[in-house]
Order: sequence, then structure tokens, then C-alpha cells
Amino acid sequence: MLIVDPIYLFLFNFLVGIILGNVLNRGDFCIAGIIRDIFLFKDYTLFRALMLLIIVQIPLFYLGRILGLIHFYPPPTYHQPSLGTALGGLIFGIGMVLAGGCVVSTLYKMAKGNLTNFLAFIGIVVGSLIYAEMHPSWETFRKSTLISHSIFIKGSGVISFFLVLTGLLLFYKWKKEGKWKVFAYAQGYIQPWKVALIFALLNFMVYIFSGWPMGITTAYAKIGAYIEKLILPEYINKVLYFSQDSLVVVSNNLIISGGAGPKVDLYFYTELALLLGILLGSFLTSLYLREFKIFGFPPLKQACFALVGGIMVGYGARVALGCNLKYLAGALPLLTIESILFAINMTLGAFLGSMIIKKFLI
Amino acid sequence: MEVKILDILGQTCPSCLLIALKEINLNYEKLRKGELKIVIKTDHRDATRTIPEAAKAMGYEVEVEKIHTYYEITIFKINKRR
Repeated sequence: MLIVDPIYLFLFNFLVGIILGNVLNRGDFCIAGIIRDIFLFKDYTLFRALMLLIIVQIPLFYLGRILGLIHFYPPPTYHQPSLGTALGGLIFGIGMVLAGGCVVSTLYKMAKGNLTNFLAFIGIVVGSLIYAEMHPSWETFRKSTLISHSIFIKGSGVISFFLVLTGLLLFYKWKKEGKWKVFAYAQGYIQPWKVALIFALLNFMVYIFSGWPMGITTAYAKIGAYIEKLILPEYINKVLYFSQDSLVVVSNNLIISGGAGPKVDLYFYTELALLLGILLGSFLTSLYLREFKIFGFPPLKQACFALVGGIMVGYGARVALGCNLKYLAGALPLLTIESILFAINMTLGAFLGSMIIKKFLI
Repeated sequence: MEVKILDILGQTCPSCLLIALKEINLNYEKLRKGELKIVIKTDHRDATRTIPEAAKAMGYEVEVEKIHTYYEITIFKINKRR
């Protein structure tokens, strides 16, 4: 069911981004915030919805596989786990808490006119560019610190089954306790469990039609590459990370490839299209709700936190070869070792980030 | 009743809730006696969930109103007269 035509592929991902931008904005569904607030305020309200997002995709992806809707299993963007995954996850986790958002929530918040999140956005792009300079050493590091040669954990079928079962019991318990209903005064608020379900369905559709579950961070590197090309057109040709293709896909006798370089390729049609879609979807939503407004820059300390956090998010994502969107929303339901390693270290990083915030931010 | 306005427009999470909590604690006495109202101006949507939730859990009354493009969260205590 793959979309092969580049224009349709772009439009499809762009449209998915618009819908995602709309629901994430309305429900203010920020994965970075959800994990941080557990450590900072012991607030589990939205964490339930995050669990729903992950668990509900296990049967969805399974169904997609047995019905033959899914073309790539495992997706070509998944790798063998290495210490890079763990280290990147840790840096990413600290960064997302300091930046006040992850690679997705930074987008939908920035599209509402928030300059703090805009600083985080610049940070993520800069972090990706810094990584590009060090890419060869990290590539060697990852290859020499492989933790396993397999993509999936052993017994992932049985574990999936028990996860879904446990999930269902928990979800039913929370329903009886009335914990799914969340109250916020914000106009046009959409219940977090609905956001989670729409998110899951969109990710499933992206897996079917676009080849693999959503990813977004290479798009940040690509934006950085386009900017670098404008400023240093001769230098960028020498940066290995931008001249290599990190992804080559063969489908129906067609070879499609993509990388972080400043060119129109597979990552342009998928990740960059999704990124632009989220920005537009959230921007239009905030116009509709009459909430778009630029209030100026935050206090200096907060601005520094956002910028530095953003750099860590961008850098960490590149070291780990992915972000929370790729690993938490898509790869965790497939029980890949990479995603579990990333999730654990990102959570640890979020804990450390929360400690830093508690001590220094306010 | 005294009114203290807290403008945190353009700031992002978790500063919004942290600043609100800090302000509530700093003005504990006056708030409890019903002498002070804290008005928080925020454009952060999730803060319209977290701040009222936290303030209500501490036993305060909360009113939220949308003004132009942002939200105004008022935290106060009704002084029961004998």
C-alpha cells in the first residue's frame, strides 16, 4: 500500500502533519511535558494517554502485518542497538526538559507564536549541525559499541500479548475511576485520550502508506543543511553527513534514497513534509481559536534554558539516530531493543533535567 | 481585596506552574485570609489545566476567563464571615 509518487508522498505526510498539529495544539499534548511532570509534580494525568498511544499500536501494527498492509517489517529506519542509542537518549531526555518541549511539541507550540519554543527550535537545528561535524566519530562509536545484533527483543510476541492484556485491564480500571476525563479551561480543548487515539491512527496510516512510522528529526538536520548551504555553500559539500544518504529503500523495483543533505529526497517527502504540516496545522488552529500571538522573549534564564535544551535535543537525537516520536510512538509498540534502550535513558535524562529545573530555573 | 497580577505570557512549561505555585506559597497568609487575589495571565493551554487543578487541591477558588488571545486564571479564597 506504499505511496511511491513523491508528490503524493509529500502531500500525504503534509496532511497527516496538519491533522496532528491541530489535535496536539488543542490537547496541548507534549510528550516531554508528560514525562517531566511525573518527576516535577507527580502528575500522571496525561501519562495515561501516552500509555494508550503506545499500547493501542501493538494490535494495530500486528493487524497491519497479518493483513499485508505493512510493507517493511522491521522498518528500514531501525538499527541494531548501540551505546549511541543509550547516550543519545540521555542527552535528549535532559534537553527536552530544559527546552520545554520535544521535537514535536516544540513545533506546535512555536506555531502559536511562542518565542521560547522558537529558541528551542533554533537550538534543535544548531544541535543537528554540531552533530554533522562529528558524525564520522559517532558512526565509528556506534559500530564498535553494538549491544545486540537483533532489532527486536526476544519473545516480543509473547511480551506484546501480555502488554496489551495489562494495558486493557489498566485502561478499564482508569475508566471505572473516571480518570480518562481531564478538565482544562482552554477553548476547543480535546481530551488527551482522543489525542492519543488519533495520534495512533495517524501513525498507523503513515506506517502503511509512507513505509514506516513517523520520524521527524532528520528534517531538522535538513533545515540546518539548507541554511548552512546558503551561508557556506562550499564548506557544506565537504561535510560527510550531508553528502551521504542514510536511507536507501528498494520497493517495486524502485530505488528511493534520502539523507540529511540539502536536497529534495525521501526525507524531504516524509519527515520534512510532516514537520511543515504540524507547523501549519497548529498555526491554523491557533488562528481559528484566536490564540496566535507573539508575546516577546521570555526572561533571559528561560531563554538560555530553551536554547541549550534545544541543542541537546537536536544533538542527542542524532547520536541516538532518532527521537521520542520515532522510538516512543512507533518503535516501542514493535518492541525493538533500540526503542526500549532509548526510552529508559530518555526517562533518566528527563529525571536529571527536572532536577536541574527545580534547582535553577525558578 | 488586593489584586496581584502575574504576567507570564510567552513563557512555557513548566515555568508557568512553578511560578504560580511559588507565588501562592509566598502570599499564603494574605490568600488564606481572603485579602488577596492572584491573577495569572498565561497563553499556555496546559496551564489552564495544571494551575487550577493545583490551586483547587490547596483549597482555593479558581476562575478562568479567556481574554483576547490568552487566559486569565484568578486564584482566591472566599472569606467566610461569621
